[in-house]
Amino acid sequence: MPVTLQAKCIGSLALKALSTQDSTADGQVVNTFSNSFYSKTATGELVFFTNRPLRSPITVNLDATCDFEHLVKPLEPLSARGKEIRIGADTIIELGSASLYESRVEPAGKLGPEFTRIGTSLRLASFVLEIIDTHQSVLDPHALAHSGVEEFVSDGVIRLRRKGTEEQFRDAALKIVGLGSGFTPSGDDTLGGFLATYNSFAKTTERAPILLDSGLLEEKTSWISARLLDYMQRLILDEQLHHLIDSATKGDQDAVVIALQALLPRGHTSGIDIAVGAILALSLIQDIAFEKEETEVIARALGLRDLVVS
Amino acid sequence: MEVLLHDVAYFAQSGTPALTSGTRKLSVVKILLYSGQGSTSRRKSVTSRNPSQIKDEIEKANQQAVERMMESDPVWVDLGLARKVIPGVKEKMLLHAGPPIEWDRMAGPMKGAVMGAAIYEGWARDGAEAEKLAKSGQITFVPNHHHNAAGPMAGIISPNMPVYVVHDREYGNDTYSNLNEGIGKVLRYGAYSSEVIQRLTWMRETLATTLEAVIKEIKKEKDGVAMKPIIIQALTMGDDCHNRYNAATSLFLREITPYMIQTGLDKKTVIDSFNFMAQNNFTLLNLGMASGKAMTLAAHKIKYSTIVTVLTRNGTDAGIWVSGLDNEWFTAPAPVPKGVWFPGYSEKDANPDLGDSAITETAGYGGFAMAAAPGIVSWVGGSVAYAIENTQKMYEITETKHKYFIIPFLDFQGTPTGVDLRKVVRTGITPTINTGIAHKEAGIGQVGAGIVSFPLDMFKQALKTYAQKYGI
Repeated sequence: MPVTLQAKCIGSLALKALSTQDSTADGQVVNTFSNSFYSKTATGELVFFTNRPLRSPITVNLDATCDFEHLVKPLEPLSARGKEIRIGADTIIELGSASLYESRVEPAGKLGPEFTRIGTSLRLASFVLEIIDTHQSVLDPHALAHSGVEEFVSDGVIRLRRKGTEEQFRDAALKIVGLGSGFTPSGDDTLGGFLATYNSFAKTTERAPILLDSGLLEEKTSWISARLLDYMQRLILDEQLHHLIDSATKGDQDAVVIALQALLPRGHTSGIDIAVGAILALSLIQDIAFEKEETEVIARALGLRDLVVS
Repeated sequence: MEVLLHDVAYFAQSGTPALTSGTRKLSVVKILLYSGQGSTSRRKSVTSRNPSQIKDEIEKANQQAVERMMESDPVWVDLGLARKVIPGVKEKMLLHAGPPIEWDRMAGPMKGAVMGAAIYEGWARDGAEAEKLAKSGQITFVPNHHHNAAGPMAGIISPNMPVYVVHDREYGNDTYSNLNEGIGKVLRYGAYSSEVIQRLTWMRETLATTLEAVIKEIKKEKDGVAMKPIIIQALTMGDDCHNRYNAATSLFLREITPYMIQTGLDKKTVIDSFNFMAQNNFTLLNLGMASGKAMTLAAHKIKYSTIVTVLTRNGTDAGIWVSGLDNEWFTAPAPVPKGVWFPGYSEKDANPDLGDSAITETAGYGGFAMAAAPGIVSWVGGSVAYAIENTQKMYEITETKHKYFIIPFLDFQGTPTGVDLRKVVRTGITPTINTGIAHKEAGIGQVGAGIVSFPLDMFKQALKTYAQKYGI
């Protein structure tokens, strides 16, 4: 007997991706967990279904308490017709009463002096990361991605302070794609956090956004992780990252620390890795906007200490 | 060339506000300076400094905190009127559950309890007069925790209410709680009708007289009634010692009954007192809470410690204290429990959670020991599997397993003990407790019981403040 689930909220991109499916080419489920599952639409977009409340443009938030691993199986076909999504033969998701989530990243036209206040926030957040359990994240010196991310900071992030170093940054960034353990490798998460934040402020710092080739990303890491990284670099962000960018734009010291902390429970180490990337990017933006050189200090405070800085 | 610098010097060089507070030991970093290959620029390579010393300090402090929490030895030693036995309690002062709150922001059941206490004290003749008095600002409202006390639900302790005095034989602290009235229409749930006031008056005149005489008799032979052995035993008899005190109450009565008989009080007084306590499965809740307060107080104010020493709520806000952050409150809106409802009531009637009773979970029992008390799910809802799952989950956010409080069903594992602020923020898992549910309007009382999780926001605020205090 089919199980019907109600969607509470649907992200704008998820809605668009599901609406453009045609009847001859359905999408499919690609991975399931107890609280969530990922699907690939016919147009190659990723749609994330979850019973958690965090919203994003690619997410469908469900009003469900069931274990999705028992309900939805990988490779099952997914089709959207009208206000209904069908998965396999037994699962129906009704979209009729779902609200729409749209994400708009609108950093200030120019960074005011209040932005410098976030320097303190970044040191506080770095301290929080120093005292919590960061086992297996990029901050764990024994983790696979740790030294790779240190190189990324040395060869990519810090150099990016100077204009015209974008190509060097791209080379350094691509080296950490797929690096590390986890469903989404630590390197991908760190890079995602970095690019989401850096690109959000690109206009205000008079820099071009850095976009890595999505095809290259898919070659270097899993399809899901590559898609998530691609969305992050294109500023298709969930509401937690959105809140972080907003708080930083306003120079709201407390809110930045709280927003960074809010990321931490995500995944096994994803939250920590994304937060590290975001902290590095915010520090770099501050350096660029106010001609400072603090990113090395912040990186070391985070535990990325073996930096070679020119 | 190779130079050794202190962190502070390095931070100062880098134009960062220096680490000058001296709140943490400074580690040494090794900075290697050399010429970059093919470049005139100077390259700096910073090798790893000592592993985080602050983390070591925190670990040591947390171990000390939970050790003290577990070794605390609360003993019921006295009973008397609050104004006589609780230091600092004055006329026209009401102690209440949860973080600080003023009349205007109080929830219905808290207001109801304040009004009832004002009538009980003779400050007002009825609810209307009591409300007017409370609004006038003439009553001082102070959290129980500011006076080392803990009270269930509204937790109101007025100057002429009898309170238990619990003494920690190991660390010397005294803690306090009021006497339990039973369930339903009771002051702590915001009811203040004449039957509530009459019961409170009877409790002061008869029950407290009996208990005062009992403790005097007991003290002729020993220090008092040791509470930890009762809690230890009750946890193996199906109690969680927050919302189920059936076994603990029986064990307590078994201990004090011989002394009740020895008091020489008239037969009716003794029988009425015994029956009142025996018919109320929550009789031992308040002593259990004063004991929890003693345990957590022993773990409080330890420098660097991230262990939570108070978890509480007042019907409007939930609040916590953290050992290394003194008496600073971190608050967030109190959540509404999910529960089992008394006939005729539902979630729409519920007030957000209130009471100091989460001091039991703070000390490593109560909801954290739900796996020891499968019978409790018939009272608070959920399933036996959920009760077990909840206990298992709490291990993820606590420092240790209790040495003495054990759960037979989990192969005699110790209960999850010592909520670590860092683990809560890292995992997003917040302490989950079981609780009574009060009607949102003043004067009605208890409408159910259920399960509730503390809001994450106040833990994030606390960790941010911790970073400000110890980090930079």
